[in-house]
Formats: sequence, C-alpha cells, structure tokens
Amino acid sequence: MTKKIILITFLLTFISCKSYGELTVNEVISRAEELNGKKVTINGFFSAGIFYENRDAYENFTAEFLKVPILGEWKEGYYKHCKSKNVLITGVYTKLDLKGELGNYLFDITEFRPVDLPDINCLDFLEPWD
Amino acid sequence: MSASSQDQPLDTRIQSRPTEGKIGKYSQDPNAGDKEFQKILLRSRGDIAAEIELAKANKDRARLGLEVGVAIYQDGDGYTASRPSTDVPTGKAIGSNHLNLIDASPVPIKNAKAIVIYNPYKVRSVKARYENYMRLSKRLNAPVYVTSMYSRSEVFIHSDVKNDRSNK
Repeated sequence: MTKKIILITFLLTFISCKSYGELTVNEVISRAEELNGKKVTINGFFSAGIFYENRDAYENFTAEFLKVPILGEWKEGYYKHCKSKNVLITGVYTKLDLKGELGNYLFDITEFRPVDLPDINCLDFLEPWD
Repeated sequence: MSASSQDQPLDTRIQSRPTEGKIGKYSQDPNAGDKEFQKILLRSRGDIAAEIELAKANKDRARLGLEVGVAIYQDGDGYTASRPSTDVPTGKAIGSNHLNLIDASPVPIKNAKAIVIYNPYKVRSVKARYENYMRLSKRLNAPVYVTSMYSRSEVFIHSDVKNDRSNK
C-alpha cells in the first residue's frame, strides 16, 4: 500500500511538472492564470534578460515578453553559445502585480539551452553573485 | 591575474572605435551643456540607485538581476522623468509622456528626451549589451545613458537619431 501511494505521488508530481510541454512566450502569457507558479519550458528569443516570442518580437519591442532576472555574471561561453538567440528555458512562470509594471517573470531557472546546441546548458556559464 | 581589458573604463575602448558598424555610433553627451538636463540626469540616476538599494534591502527578485531605467521628457523649459522601472529598457514606461506618470499600465515610450539605464553587471556584460542600447536609441529616437557600478557612464546614440532632438 505504501509503495502504491509513493508511486502515485511520484507520478502526479511528474505529470504536474511535465504536462505543459514546450510552450512559447505568447502561450505562457495568454495562459497566465493557469500557469502562474508552474514550472514551464519555453522556446523563445532571449536577449539581455528579456525573453521574447521570437527575434521579430525582440526587434519590434513587442509588449509580450518575460523578464528573466539573472543573478550573476556570464562567462565567455555564454557569449559564444547563448547570447541573443533562440533558446529553451525552464523555470517557474510568475505573474506579479507590481503597481503598473509589466509583471511576467521567469524565476528559478533550471535549464537554459540554445535551440541549435541543445547539449549546452547556458547556466554552466553563469557565475552567481555572492 | 591583473586587470584585463574587460576592466578598463568603457569609454576608453569605445573612443578607439567610434563606429558600431551598421547599427550606429557612439557619441559624446549631446546634452553636456544643458544644465537643466544634467540636473534631471543626476536626479534620475539617484532615483534609480535608490530603487536598486531598496530592491537589495527587500531582496526584491523582480528588480535584482535586471536593468532599471528612467525616461526623461522635455517639460516646457525644463525636464521631468518617469519613475524607475525595469520596463524602460524594453522601451516602455508608465505614461506615454510627462503628463501621465501615475496611471496603471506601461506603454511604449514616445517623445523622450533621453533614456537612463542602470546596468547591474560587470564590464563584459555591459559591453555585450551595446547592440541593445543602440537598438533602443534608434527605436526611441533618443540618446541612451548607461550607468554601471563597474564603469563610467556612457551615451549611446544611434546614427538615425535626428540631431534636432538632441539639440533641443
């Protein structure tokens, strides 16, 4: 019985973590209420701490973006492999009420991979602040 | 290891290569002789610094690790500034002009005299964002003043920014 409970708990946890699949920035923002506080993997264009739907959205300064606070300094590998390109980022989507500021964030990043180089985890190039 | 070229003041290196290829060029402060502008610029930097200190004190994860900026607008013979926000580096601020700074949603910045940005990173990361600052300057048709705690303040002005704006 105990084993079954453990198995069911594990499966439910696994499903809750994985059920969203790969999303786009616009999909996440349009499903903000549902996804708030959930761990998601997003495919989009990342530049200077901002995560856009794609390069066009970045170039056109669209209003739909996620802020991705980076608490550290990037090392050389980041600039070589990860800077200003399409990436997959996994983190916790959080919608915050910030007295008028746009409050779509991605916190607690656990994966950050260039789409064209999926074996590279860009977080390996991050030197966290003290 | 001794200080590398990454630790040198930014402007030393920029001045040795005054153009940024197709995306624009670096320039000296076009508002250097405008005392009123320099006052609001100084005050804006102070407002941003206060915002950053507050964020540090509160361990505000929505502010730390992001650039914070202010938009400066012409206001008659003087200037006024938006409140510090992490939206400004994305080209948005509260209110589209100086008359409307207190209502709810950020909107695209229009008719700004200048943008002031604080970059919380070290020189290499600041340098990696040159393209972003030029892009922002072009988009907003205004100079972008960038301050970092590790380097001197810099002004980024895209070559498409009209001279009459910077000479107002």
